[in-house]
Amino acid sequence: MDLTEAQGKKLFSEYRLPVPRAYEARNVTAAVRLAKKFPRAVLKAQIPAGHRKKLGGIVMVTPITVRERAKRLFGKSIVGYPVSSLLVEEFVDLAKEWYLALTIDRTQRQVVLLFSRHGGIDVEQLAKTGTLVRMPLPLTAASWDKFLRQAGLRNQATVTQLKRIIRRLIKLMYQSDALLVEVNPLVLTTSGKLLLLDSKVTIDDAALFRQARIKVAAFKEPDSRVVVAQKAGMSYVPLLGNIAVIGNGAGLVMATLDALTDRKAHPANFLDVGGGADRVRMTKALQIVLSQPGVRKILINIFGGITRTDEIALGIVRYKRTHRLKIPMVVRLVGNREIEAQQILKRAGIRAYYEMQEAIKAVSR
Amino acid sequence: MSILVERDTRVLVQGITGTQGRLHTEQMLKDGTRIVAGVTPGKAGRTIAGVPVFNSVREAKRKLGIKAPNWSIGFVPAPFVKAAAFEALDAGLNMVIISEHVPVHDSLTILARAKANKRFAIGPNCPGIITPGQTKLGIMPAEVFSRGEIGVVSRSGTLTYEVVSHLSKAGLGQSTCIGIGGDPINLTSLEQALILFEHDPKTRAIVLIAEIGGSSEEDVALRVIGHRVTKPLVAFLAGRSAPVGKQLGHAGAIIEGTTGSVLSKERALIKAGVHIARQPWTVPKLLSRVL
Repeated sequence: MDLTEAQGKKLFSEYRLPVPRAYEARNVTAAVRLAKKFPRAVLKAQIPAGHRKKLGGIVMVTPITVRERAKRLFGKSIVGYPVSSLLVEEFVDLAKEWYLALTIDRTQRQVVLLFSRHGGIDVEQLAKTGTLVRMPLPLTAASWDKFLRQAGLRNQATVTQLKRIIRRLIKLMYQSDALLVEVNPLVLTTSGKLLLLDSKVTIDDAALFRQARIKVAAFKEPDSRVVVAQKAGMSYVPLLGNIAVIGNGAGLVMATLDALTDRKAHPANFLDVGGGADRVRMTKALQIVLSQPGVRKILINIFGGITRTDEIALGIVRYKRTHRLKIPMVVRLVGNREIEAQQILKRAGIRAYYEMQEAIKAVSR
Repeated sequence: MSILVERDTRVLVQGITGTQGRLHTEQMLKDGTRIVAGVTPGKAGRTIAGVPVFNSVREAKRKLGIKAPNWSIGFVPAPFVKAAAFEALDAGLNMVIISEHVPVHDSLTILARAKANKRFAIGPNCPGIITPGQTKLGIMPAEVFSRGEIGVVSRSGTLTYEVVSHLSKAGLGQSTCIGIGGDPINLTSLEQALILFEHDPKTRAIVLIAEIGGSSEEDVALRVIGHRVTKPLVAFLAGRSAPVGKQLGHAGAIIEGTTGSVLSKERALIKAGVHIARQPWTVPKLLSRVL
């Protein structure tokens, strides 16, 4: 789960990390009132997307221009996200922009600290500058010295501040089950103070059960089908094509989408019914994929391990009957109780395939 | 021969009295696994499918003496996986973790604990490990597998069954199949699995079943394959048509920016001499070419 900048900064404040003074505004009137607290302020759209500055989601204002600018921002939609909240932040006179992040290196299987003196640009651009310093945690005295050397930091006052910031960010990362804590930019103000000017924090969804503090969903998932699927133990991702796909196991469903795409067919979605799905879940799965407009065919691909294929078959038959389904359906069921499953389908007049490649061929014909 | 588990592996089931624990204990026994003990705190004295239940891993170890388990498989809800894994690893057992939705930071601490105890941990979010005809520590349908000389390492469950069913039909049996898991952190890494197969005299070739996300495949292609692993390798990669930035089912299956795409993995693997199967059912054909 990605936190908004405002939520991330609230978390930063809880860990006594230095952030600029800021207030969140949910309408123009509030934005105008709040901006008056500062001689110059910055309005920042709270949307879950990078490159906000480039996309016009961050603008500088004075108490005179704020109304006009805030109005324009609230009416805006940035990369599909309507702006419903602005962070009204004091303008900071900065001397330097740096990059600081804690992330999980999947290959090295450890938490790493990333730093660069070229902040303010996105991290992939930044990697190309060759200035990204990478240090695995935990930081020892020796690795800390190495870090400072590689980062090229000498000013003692700055180093002391940075060390404190890093220590607190590490604590935040572990205690909040964060997968990413990114500060881009971390700025050195003209008065020599380090400030965390932006925040990008991702919390591990699997750990939300013990992160009650962070339970506010940062962004409501706009597609209600995704939420319905999730609640039923399934995973659904809408795509752009016209063949609805249901399968079990993320890998198998991905491979099914690939095989369809290879034959120039266009999957309408990714749907993994999850392990041990029964007839109820199968019916729900059909409901979800068929509620997407433009679906012309259905492909069901199940390899039953724990999943009982007869249960899947019963779900399919029940749905077909109660909804008088006319859309062509290709079903491939093998594994656990496949003989029973094939019989159930046969009785309902549905042809079942044993081989994945045949099912793919049939549906993409 | 095989890797990690074989006929004589003595298995303990953590969470044996739960629905999943009971179901898979029965199934594993049918498939020939030597399950010597089960653990559920507070349920000592019972038996499940003839398997004695103990209160703790240590108690099971102490009471069973020379017949004590050396591997554990856990059917424990995700929030309790860390404690269960610590218990097994600290008692000197290796551990298979089937559970999905284990917090990533828990996986990292389990990994550190396994290293400190010099023990193996497999998973989380995986189907387990099977040495066909000998033993199974997992939830996979054993009838799909067959004895042979192909090592299989996979990040996925059902996709493994799909690929393996084609191998078995083509007469290409398997030495061991290990599911390393669909999470961002694999407690047994792809690199470790490949090296284990390299050192197994029974394994003649390796099938790698991977998917989008992370850069482990690129990394092993660069550092391991052709150097520390020289056996012939065939790979199938799922998620060629996956959109950027969308998590597809598995927590680890996501293309982030330019990292994690099938194209990037494929390029690196081909460069290292790995043969790429475009479909699950073309794996046997490619494999018979390199054998």
